[in-house]
This record gives sequence, C-alpha cells and structure tokens, in this order.
Amino acid sequence: MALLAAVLIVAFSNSFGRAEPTGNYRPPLPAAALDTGCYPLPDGVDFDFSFQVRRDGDREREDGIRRELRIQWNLVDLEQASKDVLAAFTDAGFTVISDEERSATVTRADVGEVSWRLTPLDVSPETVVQGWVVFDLPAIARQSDAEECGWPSVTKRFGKDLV
Amino acid sequence: MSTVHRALDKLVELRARLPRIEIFLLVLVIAHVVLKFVLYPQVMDAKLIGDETSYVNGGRAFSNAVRDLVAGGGVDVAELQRNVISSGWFMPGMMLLLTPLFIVDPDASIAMIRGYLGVCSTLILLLAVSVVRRHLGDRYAVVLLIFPGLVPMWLLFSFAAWGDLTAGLLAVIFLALLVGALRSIREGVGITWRDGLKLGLLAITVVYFRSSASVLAVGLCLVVGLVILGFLRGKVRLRSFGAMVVAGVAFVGLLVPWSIAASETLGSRVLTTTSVANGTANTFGDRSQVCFGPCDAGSTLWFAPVRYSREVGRATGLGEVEVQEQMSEFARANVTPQSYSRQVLTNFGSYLFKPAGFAIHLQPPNSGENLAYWLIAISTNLLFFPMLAGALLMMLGIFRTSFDNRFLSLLLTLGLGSLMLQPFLHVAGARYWTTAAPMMAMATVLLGGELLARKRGHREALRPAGENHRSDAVLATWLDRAQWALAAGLVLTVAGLTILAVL
Repeated sequence: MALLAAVLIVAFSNSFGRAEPTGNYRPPLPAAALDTGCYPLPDGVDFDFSFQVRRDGDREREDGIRRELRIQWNLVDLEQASKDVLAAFTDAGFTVISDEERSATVTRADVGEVSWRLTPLDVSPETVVQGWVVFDLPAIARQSDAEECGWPSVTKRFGKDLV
Repeated sequence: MSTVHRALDKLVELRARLPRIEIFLLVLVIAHVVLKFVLYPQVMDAKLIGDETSYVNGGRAFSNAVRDLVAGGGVDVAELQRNVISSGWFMPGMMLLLTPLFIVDPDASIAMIRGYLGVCSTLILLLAVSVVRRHLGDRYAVVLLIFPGLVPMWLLFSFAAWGDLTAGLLAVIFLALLVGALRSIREGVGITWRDGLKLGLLAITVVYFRSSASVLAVGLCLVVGLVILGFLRGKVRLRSFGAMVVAGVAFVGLLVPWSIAASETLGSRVLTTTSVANGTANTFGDRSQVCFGPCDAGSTLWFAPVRYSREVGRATGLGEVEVQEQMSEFARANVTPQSYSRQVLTNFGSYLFKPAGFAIHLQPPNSGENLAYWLIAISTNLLFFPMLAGALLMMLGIFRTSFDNRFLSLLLTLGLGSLMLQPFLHVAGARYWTTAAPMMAMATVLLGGELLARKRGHREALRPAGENHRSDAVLATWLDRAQWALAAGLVLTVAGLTILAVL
C-alpha cells in the first residue's frame, strides 16, 4: 500500500511544481578582474602568463593618486616571472628605465611611468602560487558600465586601505 | 566504594519495583513525542542556519532530478552539481532524506521542513531503540529513549537539517549489529554474507550522513575482520571473512558513485568530502595567509578560500581541491606542536562543553536569552554532563564480566574515540556532540552494568575451543589487551596534548 502510494506520488511529482534550490553554497565563479574591461591595464599590455589579481585600488601619494595592482604569479620561478612581466610591457611598446631582479620601471609617452616589485613566496618549486607582483600604475577610472564592474569579488577593489 | 554499592542497591530495588518494561518503554516514547510537540514551536520559524541551507538545497535539487527522470527528459546536471556537490563540503545523506518532502511539496516552508525532519528523526530514534533492544537488551533501549531522546537541545537539533544527529543514531544501530556479529563469531557460528551486506550498507549510510564518521565505520568493520581472522578456523573463518569482504564491497560500491560525481564536478580526486584542507588551514594555520596571503574581504573564512582556489584553478588548470591542499600547507607553515595542541584542546572544549551552544540560534527570531532558552540550556547541561562523565570513565575502564561487555567496551571506545579525531582536524562546534550522544548513553549503561555485575560477582564462564574456533580464554586475553591499549592510548593522548600545550 505504502509502496503504491510512493510510486503514485513520484509518478505525479511533476504536477506539484518544481523546487527552486538557491545554489547559494556554490555561487558562480565571477569573471577574472582583467578580463572584464572594468579597470584594464594600459592599452596593449597583456599578461601572457598564469596569474590572479588579488587586490586593486587607488592610493593617494605625494605625487597624486596612483593605482596599486597586486597580483600573484603561478608555476614559474622569480627569474621567469620577472622576464614575463617585463615582456608584457616591452611588447606593448614601453621602454625600460630600470630592470633589476625584483623590480623594474618602464615608460611610454601616453601612459607615463609604470613600475613593479616582485616578492617570491617561501615555497617549494612544486607549489602552484610562487609570488606576488605589486604594480604602480597611473590611476584609471571605471571603464565600463557593466554591473559586474561594481562587484568587489570581480574587480578586487575592496576599499579599506586603498582609496 | 560503599557509597557506590549503596547506590547500586537502591537501583536494583528500584528496578524490581518498576512496571513491566514494555509499559515503561511506551511511557518514554510518549514523553519523547510530547516533548517534541512542546519544542516544535521553538524552531518552526527558526530560519535555516548556515550549512542547513546547503542540505535543503540538495534535497530540492534531488527532487527535481526525480521529476526530470519521471518526465523522461534529461536531468539538470548543472543544478545537481551546484546544489548537491557544491564545493564538496558535505555528504548527501540529509539531502536524500529531504528529497521525498520536496517531491511532494517543492515549496515547503521552514515550518514544514523542520516538522518533516522532526518526524524523520523520531522514526530513526525509534528504529535505533528497537534494534539496540533486540541486540543488547532493555537497559540500553531505555537509556537511549532518555538520552538523547529527552534532551531538549538534542530534540531541537532533531528538527534541523545537519546530518550529525542522524549519523549518531545510525551509528548505534551499526554498533548493535556489530555486537551481534561478534557474538556469532565467538560462538563459532561466524557470520553470513547477508550479515556482511547489512554491516557494509549501514557503514556507508552512516558516512553518507556525516563524513567525519568514516573512521568509525571503516575502523569498526576492520575490528570484526581481525577478530574473524584471529579467532575462527577452517571453513567458518573463510565464510565469515568473505562476509566482511561483502561488507567492504557494499561500502565501496555505494561510495564510488558519490566519489566519481564529486571528483568530476570539482576536477580533483575526492573520496568523501573536501573540507579537511580548508578546515585545518582555518583551524591551525594563520588565517591571514590562507590564500597565499590574505583572502578576499567581504566573504567568510570558508567561502573566500574556495573562491580563491577556483580562481587559481582557472588560471593554472589545476583542480580546486589540489589548490586548497597547497593553500592549507602554506597557511600551516608556522604551526608548532604547541600551537597545534592548544588549538586541539580548544576544539575539544567546543566539542564537549557547550551542549546548548545552539539554543540561541534554534529558536524563534529575536527571542534572545528568554525563559525558554534558559530552561533548554540548563536542562540540557544537567542531562549532558553526567553522560559525558560516564562515557569518559567507560573509555578508561577495562570490562571483563561478560563478552558482551568486552565487545561493547571495545566498539564504544573505538567509536567514541574515532569521533574525537575531529577536533584534531577542524574547529569543533556545539552541534558535533549529537553524533556522539547515543554512544555516550550506551557507554554509561555499559559502565553501570559492569559495576553491577562485579558487585554481584557475576562473571561469564569461559568456553573451551571448538572445531571452528579458538577458546574463550584466547579471545578474552586479546580483547582485554585491546582495552588496556585503548585506555592507555587515551591517557597518553590527553597527557601528551596537555604537556605540549603547556610547554
């Protein structure tokens, strides 16, 4: 009897409607910050290596407001990462002002100076994340009206210590 | 000692004057049901708390999958992946338990969800009581109906969607069957493949409700396997060991579909759940370094690391679970024996000493610490701590008056001990004790029974070896050694942790 009732209920289950799970324990992965066009890198600069943006924002300094972009690089050692980052800018027409093991400064007429500092993590070569790069860039306004450009989870602009 | 004896005498007297056991059990069942009705209004409007939403979402998604199957169309795999597997934190037992409700009532309200879970948990409690009674006798059944059956906080949890409580009830059913199996082995009869199948199915069911009970489920089956190998002989040994192989096959057979689904979804190898990496990172590591540096602001310490691991996975092609393991290792780089043992002790504190910690959440919105809250908190504490003391004493004791007591002592110490592994891996919460509660009650009954038997001078006679089995004396020797080893292990662990934490 109970079995029959169960079978009938299951057979007619579609007529009771459909449940609506919220999926709130697995939100869709937001787009990667530099893929959105919300706050892009200088024109022509393309990071052709494995990285993730961790923090982005503007910082007030004596020489005006500058953009500070913090990323982590993956999979390669400091030497390679240093080359990769420099290549991204020289390929886009920047000229090198200084190039050291852990820092560099480049410039291009329409952008001005861009500099960065690399800090390797104290991890084994097998570890996926290998270090940080902190860029000093000209500040940039939001470049797109897309809704996601207002989401800190996408832009990594969380406010707080950065302006 | 004479005080103990006098108390035992009183108990024996009281027992003689009690009504027939069935009536007594019935009264307790009625008391349990009445208390549930009394407490239901306390939770019927309490919104889903934390992980409960994940279990409920899983139930909804499963019900939709049933609809899709009945309609003959394709199942919405993405919906299942997102709501059932999610980030791989939870086993799907509670989701499956909730599925029938959402098949009938897809838009079930909170009151309906909690009411349904309340009915399910009472049915499972009654099942546990009846199985325990059949295998272990009235005494254990009676106490289970009182503890946890009449503990207010446990009753509130019985309306909730976490799997801890259900896993605890299923675990004592599993334990009762294990005692039955050990008895048959001792008698030289051995066990059949049907027994093995039952044990395997129960073991995997427990794991489906709470993955932290995996060690318990697998470990206790291994104990039975060892006893079979060491104690039985000839064909009976072969058949009985075969039965445990059947148990293993059933266990693995039902675990594999889940492991495959979770592994496929998360792009990493997952056996049961994925929470250990983030759990150890957040519990023992430097929380400001979980994402190879700080995690994103604006989310919780559980969600932010997962999102980060998915971002790293996207950038590198690695599976998110593998990334989480590396994150955990990095965050724990500076863990010292001292910091680790201090945190373990803190976790034990949360696990064992805050039984009513959730009373403030499982109540009507904005109630605060009102009269109902205090009644629930105080009565829960009054019932809980004597049971905890009984369970701890039992775990330290050596039980020798009967083989049943020996078996139970071994199984309960291992069972409770394996649940106590959790504080070594994860921040503990005020609801984890509900998994241990039924076993704590059984441990206390075992302790009382052993004391009573010793006082009366009862001691089960030893049988000689038979055609298919070795002698009781051999079995007793090994079981007693195992009990000593477990008790010593417990003392050494606690002493070791304390010394490391203080030094």
